[in-house]
Amino acid sequence: MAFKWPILALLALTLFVFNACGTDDPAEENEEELISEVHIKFVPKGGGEEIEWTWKIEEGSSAEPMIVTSPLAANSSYDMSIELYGEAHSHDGEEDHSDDDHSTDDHSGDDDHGDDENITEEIRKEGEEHQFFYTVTPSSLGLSFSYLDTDGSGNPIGLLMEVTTTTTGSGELTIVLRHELDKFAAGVATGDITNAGGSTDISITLPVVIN
Amino acid sequence: MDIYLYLQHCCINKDLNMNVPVKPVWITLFLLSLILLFQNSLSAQTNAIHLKVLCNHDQRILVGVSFYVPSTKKGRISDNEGWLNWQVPLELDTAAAVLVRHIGFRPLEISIGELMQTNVLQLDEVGFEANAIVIQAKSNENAARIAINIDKQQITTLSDKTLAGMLSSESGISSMGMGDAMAKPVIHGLFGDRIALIKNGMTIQAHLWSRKHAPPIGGLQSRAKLTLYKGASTVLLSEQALGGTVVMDSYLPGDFGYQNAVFTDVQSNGFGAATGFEYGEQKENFRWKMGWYGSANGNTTAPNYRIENSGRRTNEVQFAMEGNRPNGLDWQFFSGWNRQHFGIPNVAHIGNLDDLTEALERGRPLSSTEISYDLAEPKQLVDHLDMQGIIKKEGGNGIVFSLNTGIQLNMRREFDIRRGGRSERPVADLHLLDLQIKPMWLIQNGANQFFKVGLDWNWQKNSNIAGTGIRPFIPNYSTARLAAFALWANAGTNWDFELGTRIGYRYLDAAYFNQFGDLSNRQRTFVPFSGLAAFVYEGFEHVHLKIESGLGYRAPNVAELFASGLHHGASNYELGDPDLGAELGWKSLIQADIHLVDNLLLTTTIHSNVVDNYVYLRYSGDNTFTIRGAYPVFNYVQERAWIRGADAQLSFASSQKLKNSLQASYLRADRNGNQPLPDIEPFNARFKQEWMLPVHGKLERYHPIFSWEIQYVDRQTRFIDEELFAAPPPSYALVNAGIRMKSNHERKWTFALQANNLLNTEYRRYLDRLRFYMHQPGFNILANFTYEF
Repeated sequence: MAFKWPILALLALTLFVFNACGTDDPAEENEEELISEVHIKFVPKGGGEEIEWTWKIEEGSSAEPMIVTSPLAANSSYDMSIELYGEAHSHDGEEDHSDDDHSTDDHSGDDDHGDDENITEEIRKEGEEHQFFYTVTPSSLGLSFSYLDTDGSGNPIGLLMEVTTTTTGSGELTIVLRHELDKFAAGVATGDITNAGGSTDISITLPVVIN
Repeated sequence: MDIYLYLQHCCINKDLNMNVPVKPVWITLFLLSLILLFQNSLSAQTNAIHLKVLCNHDQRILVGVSFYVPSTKKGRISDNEGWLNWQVPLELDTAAAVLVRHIGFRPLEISIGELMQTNVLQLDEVGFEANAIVIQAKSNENAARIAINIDKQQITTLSDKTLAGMLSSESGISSMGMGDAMAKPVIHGLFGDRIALIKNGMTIQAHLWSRKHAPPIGGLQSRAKLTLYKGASTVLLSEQALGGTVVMDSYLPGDFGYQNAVFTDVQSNGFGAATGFEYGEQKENFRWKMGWYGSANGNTTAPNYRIENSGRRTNEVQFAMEGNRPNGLDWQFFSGWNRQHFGIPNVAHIGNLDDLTEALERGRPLSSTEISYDLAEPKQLVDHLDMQGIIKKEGGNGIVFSLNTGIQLNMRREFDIRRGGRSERPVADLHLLDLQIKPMWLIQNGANQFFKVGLDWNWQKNSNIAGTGIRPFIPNYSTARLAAFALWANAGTNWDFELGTRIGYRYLDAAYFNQFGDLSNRQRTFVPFSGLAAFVYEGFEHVHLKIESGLGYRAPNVAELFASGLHHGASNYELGDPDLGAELGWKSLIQADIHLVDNLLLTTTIHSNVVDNYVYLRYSGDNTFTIRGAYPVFNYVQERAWIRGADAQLSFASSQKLKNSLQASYLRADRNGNQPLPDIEPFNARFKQEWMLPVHGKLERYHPIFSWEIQYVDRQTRFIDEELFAAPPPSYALVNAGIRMKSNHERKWTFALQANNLLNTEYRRYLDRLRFYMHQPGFNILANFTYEF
């Protein structure tokens, strides 16, 4: 046959590639955008003990989040601040995906976040693209929120809030952080999420008790 | 038909876990025995008629022209290249009359003897140009296959010249994706890598598994030869082509249908424009051409709002050359670069299940937007580079050797809205390198039969480029594949057939992160085998019959095997299954071209595709919870599927100035009995009229033709509630109209003006994922001008 060489070349190439076609492991990425912890501080306006709530989860896991809350006092006003943290990744392939991190529930009063990254300032800098929404269920619960901070365009962000309680009761608080939303849509400036659009960066629900 | 029954019995196994139910060697032996059996039929003495059929008006080739001898009830039709290859038995008198008929052309009566002396037969057009595109004459291969040459005029007036758009006007063909631009063709319900895309003999390899991944085919392809095979082309091209094959062949200067040209399109919806050129030269033993195409579209409008970030830009450069050496060696070289840059409408950027629910309830963006050409995140940027070399040399004894080699690099970058100034960093950055080598021997045995045998070698390496800041959703992987194939084609007096088989070996090595973030490695091996049997009979006076059956074998792709995690922007948490088996498909078609009278042609196709281990993405019913909220979990699962249906097209010329066509397509797809399969195009029909305008004076020479059509798409009523986010959209009807004219003087030009969605109808397409969030584009006026020189 006049064309033996293509077959020989093909076989040689095949053998070469079959031996050489090992696959490189994909690089482990430093997922800087993941938010894994939320800390909410309530400072009574008239003075008194600070209250801190915590919501924490390991991103991508199916485990239940670790939630720590304390009762709020009825007929009170608080200055509320919210802080977001990203989980620090070791990236050495030895990450422990067990639930040992979730057992830590003591964040009261200090900034014990280990190597976790504080993302709050990033949200503040990009305030025109972000807004928090605080929704209380049931709506009859004596708990209301009003924005204390604004972005460069004068629209609310929601990192700082004024919280007012009235009667005692219990319910749930859902906190949503929206990204690339329409802050000029109807109701958005007053905290109504209905017409906000955008995409959700966090959506967490915490139990509320007002004593 | 026994062949098909045998193959079905052997190879379609109900056991989902049984991937190789029959030893391929038995199929090979069976096919070889058939070859020996039929060998005796080749000894009959015949006279050869070999000619090309052209239109006398503009020299375009004519496909499907009927040649019929009433005295013997024998006949043939011209093939997809316009060739008539007919071995007329010696006992037939050369003075016997042959009736030549083709819709839209004056019937002709001519003797067999005259046909034997003719190389080119020209038919008189009575009013209309036929829809067949001008194509290159090469050989009579694939004469037995059910194929469609895509209507070039239809392509001219498309708003986006994507591959899916170019094909979707054919019955049985639809498109799937995110909007019109990010779409891929669907043939009889199958899509993705079940459809082989072949460019100059090389399989196009890109990241095509997801709905939002469009094939890297640009607008220059609208000037190439485009042929669609609805059957399973699983021998010569790819064993994976269970659904069909799209073949794109470049013209070169000197080919039928090639002209140097400049062309431009504008459209009102999105204020889009596209332009390009193709220029080449032909010298002794050498010819070349190059082309460029670029387009830009702003935000498009649905009937009641403009859609934010819905623009797109494309850029394409193609180069080709061909030469012949004195020693009889023919060579070809092709290379190209194609860039697709798509904005993804912000409304489709879904954060979690709550966002999705809200978006579904709205069904449209919160607000309208202004016209803009900016492409913001989320968006896709895909570059595809390819280079290909082909050599062909004729040896002795009718043996032709060819070697087709190709290299491709597909670079896909997907961008999302991110915090902290990271939006300019892609969330996915993939490079897919692909090498192909295909030596093939064509052994011609007289004018009536040929054998093709060859090898097909392919190697791929996919790499995630580090630095995205997102855990890779698709693994790093490499695959190597080697296959051997053999095909036998034979032509009788009024029949053709093809018979072939293919067997190979595929190795896959993947490194990926599983859903818990752990790095895993996995290797899989597959032993693909496939077969094809096609038969065409042209012995009836009024009916041409084609029967085709193919076995296909598709190894699951890496997304189906290893996807693990959040599919960005799609709100899906997708989980692959590393243990999925290969799909085994058996697709059969019967097509009848019925010429009842000279001005009426009915083409009907009945098809059936049984796919064992059919892989699809199914909602698990569970949600996974993250700090962003809940995401629905989708799993890749596999079940036995049966997809069948019918396509029909009726063409009739009610006068010399008025041509009508009616086409319809019905598809039914079940899995595990009679449970409906998701993502199946509903019933659709189209009626079109073309009217040659009765103009006089100078205008008459430009042959102005007015056309209008109404397209109806029914609602898909076969679905399972729990598997859909939202019910299928309602039925709709669209009206389109246009006018086109051309000059056929020394310098040719064509002009087309088209109004799509004339009534500005608000509608959604079932196979468009964006239907959840927005409507399809509204009224659009398009204009195309092409100047050929």
